[in-house]
Amino acid sequence: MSEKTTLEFLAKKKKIVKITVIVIYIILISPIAFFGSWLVFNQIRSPPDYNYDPILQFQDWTVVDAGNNRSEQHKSNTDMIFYNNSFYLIHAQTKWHLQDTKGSLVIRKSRDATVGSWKEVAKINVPDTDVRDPKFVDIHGRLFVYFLPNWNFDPGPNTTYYTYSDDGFQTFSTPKELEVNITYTYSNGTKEDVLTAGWNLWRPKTPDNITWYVLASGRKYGNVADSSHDEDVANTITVLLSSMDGFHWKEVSEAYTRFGNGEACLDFLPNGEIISTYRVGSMGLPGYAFGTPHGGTIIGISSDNFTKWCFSSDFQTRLDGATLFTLNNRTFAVGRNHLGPRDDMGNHFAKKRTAFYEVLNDRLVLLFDLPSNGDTAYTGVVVKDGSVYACYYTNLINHDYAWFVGLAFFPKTEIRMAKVSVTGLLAFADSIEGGN
Amino acid sequence: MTENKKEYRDESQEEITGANTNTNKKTLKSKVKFAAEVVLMIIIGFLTFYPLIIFGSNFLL
Repeated sequence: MSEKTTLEFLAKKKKIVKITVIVIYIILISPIAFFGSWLVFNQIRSPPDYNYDPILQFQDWTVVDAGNNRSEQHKSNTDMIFYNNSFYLIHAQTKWHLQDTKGSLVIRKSRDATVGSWKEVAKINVPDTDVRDPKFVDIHGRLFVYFLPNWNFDPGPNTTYYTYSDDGFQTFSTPKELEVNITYTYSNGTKEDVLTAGWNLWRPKTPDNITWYVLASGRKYGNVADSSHDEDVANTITVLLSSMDGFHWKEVSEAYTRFGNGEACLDFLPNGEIISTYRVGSMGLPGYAFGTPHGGTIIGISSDNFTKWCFSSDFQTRLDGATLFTLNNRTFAVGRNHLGPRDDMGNHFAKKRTAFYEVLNDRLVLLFDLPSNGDTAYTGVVVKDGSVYACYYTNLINHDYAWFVGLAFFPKTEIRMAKVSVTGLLAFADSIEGGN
Repeated sequence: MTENKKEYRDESQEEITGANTNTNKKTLKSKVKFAAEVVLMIIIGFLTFYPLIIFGSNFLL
């Protein structure tokens, strides 16, 4: 090989290497480096100032901090009840928002909900299973915990487990999958009650301490979700179930069936009917990671003793992880504020907060945000002695993370408590057009 | 070849000095360029590995 040919070969080789490096940089390195710079930006971004009208008598504090054990640094998915003169709070405890098969549900107790007064009283695990979204309910003195097991790396639970305690949260039965009676209506008009699992229960409530009602999302006619990801509850419907003992649940009616939905929360109106909110991923064009303008909240009102429903849409937020509660015959909610309306509702890379809303028959009215950022909401509420206590989780409040950053990259979260005066909340809602 | 080298060596001293100055400038410029490239590589390397390490360390917990 002549010297000239060798030089040409080396020059050609050098050019190929250079082009390869450039292509790798453009396709692989630059997007990751861009994401890395966005993470740095999230680390240094300051949180907003949270100011509250003095009429609310707003107070907030940390109930459970993230702690130093990274395997338990993500405290999330709260619920709370007042039982036997004490507050009881339950939350998931994992390493991050994504699947953690070593995760558990932790129950804590406090006499007055103040800082430092919360003591751990029980822990619920299912071997090698990620557990989340626990809900308390006291049915005739028996304390039930309903929760959702998850078998997907990107969580998409599609059935409910339950356990219960007969000794005030000291000991629990072995968790079992809940099967509920669902009514299948066939094309020839015949109906059949089918005992089936595959329904995600949200928060049971009762208007009379005789019958408990819960909204549950899932799929009818055997279309139970498999282990593939649920694409933000696409094609699920929500049904109303009732029970008198917490073990046996039976369909009362189909509630919201139009677009895939979940996390439906209910409360009772002065006329005895139900008002409810539904988290809807999309009411039209699909969209998940980068959001969609068609994501939002459905407000449902029942009639004819819970058998018929009418709905309104609200696009200012998708009310994830909400708790509804009633004050002075008016319905309020604490849930996730996506800072909308926006054309990318649900965008994983956007900021989210936990917020108080008033729920009117046709819309939500944003009242105020709680100190929160990143991965946040999934609330519990107790109304006691003229005050509303709302527990929720959030990434540490000295940051202002986007949701995606807070769930997997910097997943330290804490459980916080916000307390407002009942009269103050009603007056504040009146002052910003929430009043009837 | 030997003749050519001789010719180069016979260039005036002035021309040689001018060439040395240009060479020094070029050397300095290439050093600065090299240093800038190193700094850029460090920054890009950090920004590339930062998310991978953070996510990976949580994943492996």
